[in-house]
Amino acid sequence: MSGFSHDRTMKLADDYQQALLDGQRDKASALIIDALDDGLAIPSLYLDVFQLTQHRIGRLWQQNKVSVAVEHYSTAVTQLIMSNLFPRIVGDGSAGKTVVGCCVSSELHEMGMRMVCDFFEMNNWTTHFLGSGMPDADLVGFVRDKQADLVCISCTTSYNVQAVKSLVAALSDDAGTMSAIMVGGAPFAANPDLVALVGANATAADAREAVRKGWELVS
Amino acid sequence: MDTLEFLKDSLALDRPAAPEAVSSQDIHLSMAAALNERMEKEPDLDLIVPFEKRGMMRENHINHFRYMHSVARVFSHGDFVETVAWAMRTYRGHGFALEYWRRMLPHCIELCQSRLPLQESRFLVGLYEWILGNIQELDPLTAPEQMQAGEQ
Repeated sequence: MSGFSHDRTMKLADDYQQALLDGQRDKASALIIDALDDGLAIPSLYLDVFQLTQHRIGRLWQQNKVSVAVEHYSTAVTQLIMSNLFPRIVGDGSAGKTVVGCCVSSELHEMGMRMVCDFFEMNNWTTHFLGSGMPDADLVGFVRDKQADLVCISCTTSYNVQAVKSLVAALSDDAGTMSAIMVGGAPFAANPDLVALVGANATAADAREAVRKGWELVS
Repeated sequence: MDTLEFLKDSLALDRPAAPEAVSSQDIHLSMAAALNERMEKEPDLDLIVPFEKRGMMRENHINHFRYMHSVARVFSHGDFVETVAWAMRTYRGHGFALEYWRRMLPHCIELCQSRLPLQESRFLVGLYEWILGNIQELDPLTAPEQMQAGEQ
């Protein structure tokens, strides 16, 4: 149980966001490290601080209050911190399950999938995060080689939904691939009917739910 | 029922038949170049798209036709309405006037009719006509001040 209160976590999110908007990478990083030292749990950090902040800054871009450059800077800083935290979350593979996570096609918004893979890592799955720009055929081959139990595909921009359908079909058509397929991202979160339309098995609203549903799919 | 849900229901009722085959993405993207050419010739363009946002407009047209290509392959009326509302809200937030869609969408209809097979064109034109017919409903839903108030 985290000793970090909800109010304190929300205050951290506000301060972290401001540090990002001010271009203060080192301050942003220090805020996170101090909070972890004070008892903030990493799952809460991911969902209640990083995810919330990303959504808020995306909204600020939508409102024309910050530039694309500021948005990308904020993402880069958060990804840097997540990378530095990885040794704290690395699992031992004792779950006996393997997940491959990637962003579909030209989808560039990869932080969500990185979070999903990290949550599986925290739950002792063997994880393979492939990022974005993944050719379908290479992904299918990788999934087959790793005998993955689960493939997670992320899609943030609606125009990539058809690419998700193509990728799911490629995975399903490959006789050597027996993985369950979960899809996620804004279009699926808002419209779960898309899950069946692209031929996937499930979707999840966030990384925590992805792990829960992942277990359901492979058990 | 809120406006967004009303719009989703209305699109579900009027939904045109999905095409059995869909043209390549390259054909769809060629329409973006044609749309850019047409929009650059629109009179008083600066009144509906801020001059410094012309690049954003051109990029939007590419993303727009990518999206319509995707919609022709995978259609969800809920996703369509939410995406249209998101795009209008975002671009209005960047200074695009509602008039931009009133001018841009008829060009899209003509381009579909001239460049796509009949069934695919009918499907997409039906969606464009739905947007044009619902701009009044989309107006308050996508006004920048709505976003300022925290409504997404």
